[in-house]
Amino acid sequence: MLGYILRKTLMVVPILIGIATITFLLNFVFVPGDPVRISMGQHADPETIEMIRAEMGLDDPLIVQYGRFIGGLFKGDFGKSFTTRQPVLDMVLERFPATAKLALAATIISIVLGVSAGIVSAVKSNSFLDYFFMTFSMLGISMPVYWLGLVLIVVFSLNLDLLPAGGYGSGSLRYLILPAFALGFRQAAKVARMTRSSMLEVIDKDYVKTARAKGLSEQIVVIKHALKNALIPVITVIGTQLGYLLGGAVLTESVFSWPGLGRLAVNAVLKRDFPLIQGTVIFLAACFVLVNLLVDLSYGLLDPRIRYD
Amino acid sequence: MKAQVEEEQEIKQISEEAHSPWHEAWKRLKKNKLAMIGLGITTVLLIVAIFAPIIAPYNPRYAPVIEDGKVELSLQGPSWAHPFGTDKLGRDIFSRVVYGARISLMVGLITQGIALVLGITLGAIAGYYGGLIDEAVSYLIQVFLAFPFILFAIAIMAVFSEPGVDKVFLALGLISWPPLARIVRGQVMSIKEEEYIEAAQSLGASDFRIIVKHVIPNSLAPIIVTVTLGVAGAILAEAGLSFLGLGTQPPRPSWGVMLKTGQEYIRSYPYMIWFPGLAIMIAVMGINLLGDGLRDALDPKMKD
Amino acid sequence: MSSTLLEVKDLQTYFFTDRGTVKAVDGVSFDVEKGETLGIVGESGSGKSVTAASIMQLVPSPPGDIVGGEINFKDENLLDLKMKRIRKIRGNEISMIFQEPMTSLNPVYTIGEQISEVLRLHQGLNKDEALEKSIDMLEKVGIPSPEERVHEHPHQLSGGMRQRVMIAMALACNPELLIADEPTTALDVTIQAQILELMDELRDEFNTSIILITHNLGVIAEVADKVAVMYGGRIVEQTDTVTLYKDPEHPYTAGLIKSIPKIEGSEGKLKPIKGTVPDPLNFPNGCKFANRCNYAEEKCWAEEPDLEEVKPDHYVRCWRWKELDLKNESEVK
Repeated sequence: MLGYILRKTLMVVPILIGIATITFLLNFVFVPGDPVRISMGQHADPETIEMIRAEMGLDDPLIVQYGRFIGGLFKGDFGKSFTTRQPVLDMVLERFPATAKLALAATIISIVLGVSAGIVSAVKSNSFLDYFFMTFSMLGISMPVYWLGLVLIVVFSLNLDLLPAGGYGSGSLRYLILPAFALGFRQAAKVARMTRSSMLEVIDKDYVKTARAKGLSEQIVVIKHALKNALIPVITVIGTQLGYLLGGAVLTESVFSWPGLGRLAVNAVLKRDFPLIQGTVIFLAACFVLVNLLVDLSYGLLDPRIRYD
Repeated sequence: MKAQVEEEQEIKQISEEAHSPWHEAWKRLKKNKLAMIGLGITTVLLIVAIFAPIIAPYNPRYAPVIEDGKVELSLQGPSWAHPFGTDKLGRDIFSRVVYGARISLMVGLITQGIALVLGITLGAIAGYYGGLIDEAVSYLIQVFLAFPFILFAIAIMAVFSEPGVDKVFLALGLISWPPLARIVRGQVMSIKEEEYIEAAQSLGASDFRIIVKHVIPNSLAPIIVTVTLGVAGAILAEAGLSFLGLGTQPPRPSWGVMLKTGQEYIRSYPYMIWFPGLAIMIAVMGINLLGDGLRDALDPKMKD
Repeated sequence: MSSTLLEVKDLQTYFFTDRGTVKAVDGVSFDVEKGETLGIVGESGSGKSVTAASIMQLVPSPPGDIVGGEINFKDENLLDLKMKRIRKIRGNEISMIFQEPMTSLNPVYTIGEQISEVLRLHQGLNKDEALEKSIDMLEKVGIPSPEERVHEHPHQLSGGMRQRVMIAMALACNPELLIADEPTTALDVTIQAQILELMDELRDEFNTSIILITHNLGVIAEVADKVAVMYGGRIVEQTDTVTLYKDPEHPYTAGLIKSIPKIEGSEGKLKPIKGTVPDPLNFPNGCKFANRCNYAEEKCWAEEPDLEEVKPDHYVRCWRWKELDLKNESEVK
């Protein structure tokens, strides 16, 4: 078991290095001209530019820069922002809790809504409720998260005046509701569809028939016997969809002025602050990879057939 | 009587076998109501995009300037003359939504075109030559899929000194190939094992011809499905990038650009966000429905 | 005589599909006495499994529905009972085991959890008591080292072992009736024999009545006291096991007897009944077996025969039973 976890974890390392490498290549090979000059603008003081270039070692051969970059990442050194001169990692870590909170809230919403809608749809398949939920989830999958965010703002903030239209509100729950719902809705739609199809597959299984033949009530048959089996593929979807969720977080944060990594990244792009772009992208991609690792490892808890060897 | 029944069944079977798998797939697709809705929406989208100049009543980029540079029609709510209203510059939002279909479809098709070329090439090379080459390509696929999609696109857009729709094609195309490469790679590997390839090889057919003749037709079904769903994904991604200001730039009437403008006026003129958003949702949903339907029709066993 | 435990009267279970109504069970009647084993035999599509599911009211609805008849269990008509009462009977007074031991147990729960569940539900045992009783039951069905097995998951057991677990689970609450739907079909021949023997032993020990559903008359011969042969949703012949083998009156029964592998290894000489069961919507208008019967005449195609009592407690649904001598059917033609 421990060996299995270790092996799975080690397999993630080359992926993380790959992510860092591609991000590095993107910014330092494909950017035409001098990134510092681009970042500082045309009228920057040539001496300052030269100083930053020297400080960042941009005059070294590419391979040396690459080695230093990767080596730095392992030591937690993501470089320094062009614009604020602060260490990138500090900036990223400062913004990370807001994004984590948003993503977590959205995931919880998506699981609660998605799994319950999926169960109802499967148990009452081809009923009005089934069509209703499935229409909603089809819309949810096709709807841009930021547009849903705008619609929610119009309805709940501007028209009904129930919830704030944006901002962090120093962490108050009221400020979290709309962005979390906007972000979680698409995920909920995906989860609902997966839960439905997975439940429909499971509900005809012999062991569900056995459970009914035991005299168990329909609720226990569905929740205890069917759902636990049906959840296995749903967990996978939650993991793989996290990429969309993190991407969606970038957009959602932008709509709701949410002070997270997404806005940090977008501002970095607009200001052409390359080390900061690299840092946020690598950090978020690493989160994605690591959560999927956790999802992978969690299968064993749900499915005893998985062997750790 | 018995014999007759049996004979009839046999005839029925034979005639069913005589149809091509594509014909069968089309028959299955036609029975799928949701897929037909998707096909309908996609067709409408195509027509709107192609005939945008005929359909749109006004110029999507510039409104007529009344004297002194003043825009008379600025920020008008929906009316008979302007069913979706006008924006700050007095442009007809309906016309802009119509032209927006062009941009969205172009993004979808061009990015998937780039992805197809990259995906088929890399997948075929990996599957055919195997060994180290295969490992390298497979590693690349894994790494690419480890990036959250939009974030990857943002990172690439950052590289360009000026954002714009042409760069969006490139950025999204560059990151959309891995699923296609996977399909082609798997198909090449399985076909490589089969005898008729060996026969073709001994006859001296070139590797390229083998791939073109045997692999592409065999993996066409999953490729079509992936590309269709990819078009929808690309439309969403372009709109997202443009919404952030990192994609298509004004005055081009991209749906994402329109939402970005709409957001600025959301407190006083919320009507501006409805129609571009609905357009994205309906277009993406139509193409998704078609893609799902194609998947069910082309290969009932294929799952996402 | 012994008392009647279950009386099925004119049971009709239909499936309402897009293509039409399938009369999966169409007027089936039989009795099961206390401690007795009734075999129901027929090919797939004969309605035998739907009959079993109807008794337990496990027919998937829609599309299935029990449209008529009575199922009298002790002194209640099960079809009149509320679902709540049915659930008290299921797994407690009437249990069922299924064909596929590989898939009939829930893969995510241990053997012990699955047996305990039924004990805690119906007998109100607490967790420890239920586990103890589960181990007892596993021992009774011949599972070695039950204290360890009870904590294992289904995938760690062989098919035969899993069917033993199913039997343990079914008998845990000491039911009066056990319905076994093709319990041995998915198992190896040697395991089959062991399972049948086990069921026979347990019947004697617990005085449980059994309805054994199978397509294999050979299985019936080993354990059943009496047999109902089903075809096309109807009983075509019904009598005690000895008479059925010695003196079959329906050509279908005779065909089934001939298709029993007599000696092991002689399977090559099997004579399966010609043709296959027709599509359920396309049975002949008259006798449902007419299109596969060697003896079908004009009348057989035109009109369906009734179930006639040919001798005391021997019923046959055939126009020509009087004329035909099926004892050595192979020589007749």
